[in-house]
Amino acid sequence: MKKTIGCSCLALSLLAGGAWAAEVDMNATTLMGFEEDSTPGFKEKLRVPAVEYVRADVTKLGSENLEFHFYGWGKWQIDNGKTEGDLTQGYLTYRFPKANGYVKFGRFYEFQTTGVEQIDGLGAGADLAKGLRLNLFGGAPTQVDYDNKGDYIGGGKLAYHYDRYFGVAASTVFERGGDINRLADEVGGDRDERFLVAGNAWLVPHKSIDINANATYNITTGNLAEQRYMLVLRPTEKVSLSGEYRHYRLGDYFAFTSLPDTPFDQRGKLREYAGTATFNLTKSLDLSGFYKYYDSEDEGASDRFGASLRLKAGKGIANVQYTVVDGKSDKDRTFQQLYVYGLYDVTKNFNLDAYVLADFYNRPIYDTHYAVRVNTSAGYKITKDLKVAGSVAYDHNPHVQDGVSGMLWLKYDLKI
Amino acid sequence: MMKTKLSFLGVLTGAMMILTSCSQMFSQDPSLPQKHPVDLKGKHVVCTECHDAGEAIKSVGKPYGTFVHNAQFYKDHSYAVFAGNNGELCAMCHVSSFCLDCHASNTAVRPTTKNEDYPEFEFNHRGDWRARHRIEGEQDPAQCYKCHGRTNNAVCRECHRGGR
Repeated sequence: MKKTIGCSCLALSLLAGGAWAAEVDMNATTLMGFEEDSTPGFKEKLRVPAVEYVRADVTKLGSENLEFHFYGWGKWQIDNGKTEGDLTQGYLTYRFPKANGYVKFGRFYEFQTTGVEQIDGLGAGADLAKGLRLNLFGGAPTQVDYDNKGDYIGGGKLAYHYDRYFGVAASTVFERGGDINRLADEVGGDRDERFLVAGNAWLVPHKSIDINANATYNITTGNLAEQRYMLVLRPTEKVSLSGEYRHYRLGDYFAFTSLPDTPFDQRGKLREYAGTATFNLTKSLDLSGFYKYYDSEDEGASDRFGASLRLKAGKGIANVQYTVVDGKSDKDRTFQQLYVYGLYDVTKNFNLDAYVLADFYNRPIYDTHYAVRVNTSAGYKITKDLKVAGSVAYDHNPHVQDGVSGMLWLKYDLKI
Repeated sequence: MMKTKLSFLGVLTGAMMILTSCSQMFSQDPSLPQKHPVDLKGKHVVCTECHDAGEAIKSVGKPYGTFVHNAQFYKDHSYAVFAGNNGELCAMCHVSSFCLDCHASNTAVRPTTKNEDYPEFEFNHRGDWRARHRIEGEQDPAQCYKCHGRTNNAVCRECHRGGR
């Protein structure tokens, strides 16, 4: 925490030096909610959270290409007095005018390797000649939950593309220290190491065909943890079809979890086969269908399929979606879901929306066969930069007999 | 095992250095602009209204047609993220914290709650997730792992106390 504050102070002092020429784009969102549960046999619960989100993107910090990006939040749980906060990101970056080059320093996220990494450290990258690109990063990992982070982390990505037709990339992330390989006794590898390599590829042989592949190999445990392949076809502008195959070795995929038991207690293979089809029936009407088949060594097979119809007309949007989950061998896992929502712009500054989401369980959960949530929201733009919105929801489900909750948002944009 | 891993790291670093030096220099192409030349804020983006679907996006390589923000793009945008360079393409329209509304390691409230007034976003936790997650979690635990595997699982621990 001290390190983080130190980094932020340094960044802010650097900001102060060059801020005279800067352009500032800020947003503050205040969110206040209440939630009241009424369950027979239990005391009524009231939860009242208040959250303040602050984002600032400062550009042209003395130099045309120097920027500072900040995002964080503070939370006050009014019902029990608990407070917490988080510096989500805060970094300085210099963007070079050529080659998409950049260097950055501070707390930032990396999305380009095997997943999402939050780091206190340094990052740099640039396009090289002949279609190559290199990104590198290193520092201290900043995952926040429990003792599941290493002492240091590093990684990078080398990518190549041939314009229009294909791209390939290899990336790696290496983390050392602490107790991060929680499943070492079950799936092997050093307990203080997280070492992954990933390969990504895309192929576009024709503008209507898009093929993508991602695979992650867990070097620490010595197995291929995840593979994903997706084919998208757009035979006409009004039709989009896709097929996807996913394969996980769950033991290797979950190796670095901070929840070693449930919900990540499966260790076998999981295969998923999915397909979707979307048709623009008219300019304002879309019809989509989807199907997914799950084949799990631990839990058996199951299906998920459904369809949705979306209508966009004038100032409104309406959508109806129906989904069936079929547990096949385990009918306790069978349920159907109906999701209906609508949005309407009453005026340029005033909008309304509402949704109903209902689940119908094949076997009752705590003697209840269904769950329903009804939510209505309204938003009003007081000025160009200030918006207020509110929502109220009602819940009836196996855990909550009658629940009422609400939310109030105040969103403010500032540009200097 | 350790020796193998160090050798692998060495080979990877060496390969990267050789490739970098072989390429001799950085690309001389100008960087992507910091903002899209036409203001698209708040609009449903259809890249192909102006760009040819088969035309490659400069310095990204992948054609415009594959970045059209349709329903499928929203669900499977991780493929597009991996194909893009380090976020420069996305940053032309989205602020730097845009991804963190959903993908941050520590969130104040669930993305569903924060976006309760956006029913178009189909979040897993919308509605009665507490009852449904016992079904969906067994069916596809991999979908939970990306957000709750290493972070954002304090709420999970209130019931799932099996952790070390």
